[in-house]
Amino acid sequence: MKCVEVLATADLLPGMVLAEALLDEMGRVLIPAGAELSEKNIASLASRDLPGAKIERQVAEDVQETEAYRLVLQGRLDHLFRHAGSGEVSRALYQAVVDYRVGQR
Amino acid sequence: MSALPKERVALCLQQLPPLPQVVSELLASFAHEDDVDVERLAHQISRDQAITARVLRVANSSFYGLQSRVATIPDAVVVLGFRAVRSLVLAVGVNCTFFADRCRGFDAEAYRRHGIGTGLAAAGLSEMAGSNRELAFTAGLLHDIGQLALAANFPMEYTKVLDYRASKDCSSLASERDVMGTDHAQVGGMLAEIWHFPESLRQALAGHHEPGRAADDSLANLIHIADATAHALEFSHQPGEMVMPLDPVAWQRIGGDWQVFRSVLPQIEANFAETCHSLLS
Repeated sequence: MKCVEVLATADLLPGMVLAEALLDEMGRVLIPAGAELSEKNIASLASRDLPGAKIERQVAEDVQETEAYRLVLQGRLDHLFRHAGSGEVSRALYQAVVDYRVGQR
Repeated sequence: MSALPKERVALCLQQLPPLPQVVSELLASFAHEDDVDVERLAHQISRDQAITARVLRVANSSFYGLQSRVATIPDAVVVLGFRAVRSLVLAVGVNCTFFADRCRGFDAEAYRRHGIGTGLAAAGLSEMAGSNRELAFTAGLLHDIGQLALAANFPMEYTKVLDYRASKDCSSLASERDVMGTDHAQVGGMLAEIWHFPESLRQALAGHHEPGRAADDSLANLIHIADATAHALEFSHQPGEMVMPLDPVAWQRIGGDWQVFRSVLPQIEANFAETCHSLLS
């Protein structure tokens, strides 16, 4: 299972995998998403004063944890879909987003 | 609640400053696709520095996945194609026309984030829908321009709309109708007429909340679904965000397939951060 977290530059370690591309102030890609960070990368981030990076890591799947996540997610989506009605297409959109978010973990 | 006479809204919109010359020319070029002087238009875009800088930033973002950077508008036209550059210039040029900073409570950042999310969703779903990707992106970016126009030109009234919406937890469309007697789809349609937008864009702006009343092949169908998708992915980060009921007719008309739909969601989200960075800052 993939887990994404935001870490401060000081907490980054070589070998960590970027979940989102890192950009400079002009919007140019410094390091693409999916790249493994090297020591040189981290030093360059620190020298550019970038606050941190989104990192993804593989963690062992925990069924209970996934269920707990699903419940929290459904609570959030129930609120978002509070006026979307019970039509088939509205419900299918709800389900597609649940499947996508759970699959992302 | 006192409604704003529709005539007053129309009059105010008619007195808006014209769009930048190059934006109007690009809009007009939709009507004669086979006979466009691309070189002349590229040079004309280059003369507007603000537009050029932003367009090049988006062109060099990962949304287009270019192998090398483009440094000029004519280069961008060669690499991305005229249509892609045109839709970027339109998106940048039109959204820069209004400033809603006098409207208390209007979250311009959230407005733009939702527009970008809808544009990316529309572009992502355009192949399934059989629509032009660039036009879909532009239509998504601009679909709520009526909200921005109302907030910029009637700031006090629009603050009341926002307060009303928060207290009743209803849609932006319903609160605009109740408080101002008009709504952002209607205003978007009027703007599209005043600015001579191509008919497909006008339909997307005016009809995205009522696609059932649009034609089978109208872009309003795709933008209706893209709008709901962007809300469902919570791009605007607003606490009152909500998904409105989806029209099954629109879904059917765009050849809706949930498997295809799920397969494009990751790309929509992946492109979001960078497109925001390029278009917002």
